Amino acid sequence: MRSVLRTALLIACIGATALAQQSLTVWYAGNFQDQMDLVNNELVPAFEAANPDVDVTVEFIPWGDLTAKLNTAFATGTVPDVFMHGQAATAGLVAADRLAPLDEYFAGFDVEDFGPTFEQGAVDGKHYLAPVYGSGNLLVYRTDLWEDVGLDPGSPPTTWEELLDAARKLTVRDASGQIKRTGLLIGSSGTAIQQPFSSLFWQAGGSWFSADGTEVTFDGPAAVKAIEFMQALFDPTSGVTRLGENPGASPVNPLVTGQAAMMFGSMEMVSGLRTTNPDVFELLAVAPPTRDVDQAAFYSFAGFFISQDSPHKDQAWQYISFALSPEWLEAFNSAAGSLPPRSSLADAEFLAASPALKAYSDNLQFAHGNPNVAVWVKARDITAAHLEAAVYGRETAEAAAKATQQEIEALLNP
Amino acid sequence: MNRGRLKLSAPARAGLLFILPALVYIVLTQLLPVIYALYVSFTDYSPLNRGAPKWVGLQNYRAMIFSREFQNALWVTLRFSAAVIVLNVVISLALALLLEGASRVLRWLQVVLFLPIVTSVAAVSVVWLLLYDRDFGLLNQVLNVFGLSNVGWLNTVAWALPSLVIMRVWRGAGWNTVIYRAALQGIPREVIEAAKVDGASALQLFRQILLPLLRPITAYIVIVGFISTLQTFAEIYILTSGGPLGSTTTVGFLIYRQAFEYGQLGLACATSFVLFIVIFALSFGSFALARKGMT
Repeated sequence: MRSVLRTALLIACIGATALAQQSLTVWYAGNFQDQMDLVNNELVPAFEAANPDVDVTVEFIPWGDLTAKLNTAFATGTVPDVFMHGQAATAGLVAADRLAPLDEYFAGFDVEDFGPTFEQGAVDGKHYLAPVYGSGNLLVYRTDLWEDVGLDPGSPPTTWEELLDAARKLTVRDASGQIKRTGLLIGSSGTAIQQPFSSLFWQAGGSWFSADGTEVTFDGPAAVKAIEFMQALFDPTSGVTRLGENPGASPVNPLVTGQAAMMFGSMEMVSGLRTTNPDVFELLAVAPPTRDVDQAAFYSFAGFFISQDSPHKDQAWQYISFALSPEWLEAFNSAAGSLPPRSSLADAEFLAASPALKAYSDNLQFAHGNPNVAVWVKARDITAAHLEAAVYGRETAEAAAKATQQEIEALLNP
Repeated sequence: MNRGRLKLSAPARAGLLFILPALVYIVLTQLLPVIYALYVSFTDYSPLNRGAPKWVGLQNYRAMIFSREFQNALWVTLRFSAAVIVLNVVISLALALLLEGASRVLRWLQVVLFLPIVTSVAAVSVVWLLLYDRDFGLLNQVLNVFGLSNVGWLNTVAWALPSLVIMRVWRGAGWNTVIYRAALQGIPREVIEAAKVDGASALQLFRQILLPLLRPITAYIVIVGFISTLQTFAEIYILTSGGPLGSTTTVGFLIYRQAFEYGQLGLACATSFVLFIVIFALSFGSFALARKGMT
């Protein structure tokens, strides 16, 4: 009888412990192996040891599947408590009432250390994004190829004219006039053209939307100037890059094969080369953004959001604040070679060890993020479609700027 | 007082019980989703938004039919489909005829030809991505041997769609060759022998005897070809992402973008049903033409 009672008591204790424990589901975006290992083998066990009342289940969703998976989760009511997404998704998710504002939690947090990245996830004065990692789109170049054509790798271009001159010197054509080595490789469609254009557009003083996001301000001298410069880069006879390129789809990075002397690249791309092609990585340099009326470059940050429907918001914040501590953020960003959002990590060991990676941190001061409006994804694709038409010579720069403006306006005010 | 009650015999009741699991499966996983998708096509629905889909009547259909994106995608899809089907029929019939008179060793070629269809589309697409590479691809290396310049197979408006057609024909030809081979073996030998005795040339034998007798199987290949090619998505997604300049954006790829990139499920469902009507019309037309020819 006594043993029966003991067993019943034991079962009751185990049950009570299980009931007291809160389950938390966290979705990470991306499936970089070193990051997955870090989170699964170190971060989550450390968090659970420090918070025995919380049981964390982590999933890693490839970036390409994230939107589809999230949409399915929203439709079926199975959204994770915490999920990662890009900063530009914030406004759309807020408009659909899917995100919990984090201002109450941020009140006791060292947000100053996050600098401008903290503001990238703000909508109507409320903050929703807890930045985890980021990247910039900066000019990456092969110093050996620069030396070969008599350019000084220590003096990268500072203006558009210098950039075009250097790219022309680096471009190699065969006897038939076909480009054999692109001086400056740029994709001619999708985000591969839109992201480098964004940097140029901001440098020329342009913006897609008014500050409050209610008006489209795309069409104007800045847009036309930046599109004309893109057209010059793609010009069939005097240009420095080829139509129809998609650098992301190339099986081997064109900087490695020597098919490209320069390209706009992310920090992850450069970090990836450090692992796959250390010999080429040693030859790479990363330039600060050029200047027109302003000095600017496209940077994007991804971070954690808390689902509005999460019944465990406090536990969700416990996890986020734990993962955002300087130690864990450094470890997480070091694993993938991405940019930590904390300014106190600007001189992190893995950054200090490589001038090419450090350049992304040093130039964060010029960062511009994608506009945080609900219609951004469609607006981005409209911009890319007209840019593509412009570089193929199907539209003039003026017509492309005007059509982009009109179509985004129709989107904003259906 | 048995009016209105259907009386079933014991074997019929047993039969119904046997098909019930399959019936429930089909209704739950195929019929109901299609009916729901039809309903969603008349609504404004994004999974991101809370609440039920909002009824908008024919708005999605109007918006889609008048959009340049859809018109371009439909045109690309029809060109792609027509090219693949015509080439597939011609090449697979030629291969079947060649193998008909081939030695036993050469008939093993049939196995090789069949392999692409049993290989994953994604894996095959990646291999073709490498073959088509502008700088290092095998196809351009071969062209270089003959002193020809590199071709931007997937990078130029002129070549992107034909390159996808080539890959798709390569994938489907083996399957259709096997079907044609089976059909050729089903033709009574005495018909062919009689034609030869009557002095029919090889060309006459092909045009007057074989082609008419192969008409039903050709109709089958064309109909299945329409159903399959008009829904093409995976190879486009991997090889070209619909570019350059939308020259390979098929309706299937457009539906993907509407649904999963923009969250416009109502519009995506409407586009899917228009695609269904196109597939149905073309398949029905091919079937009617084939039947007319047979009678």
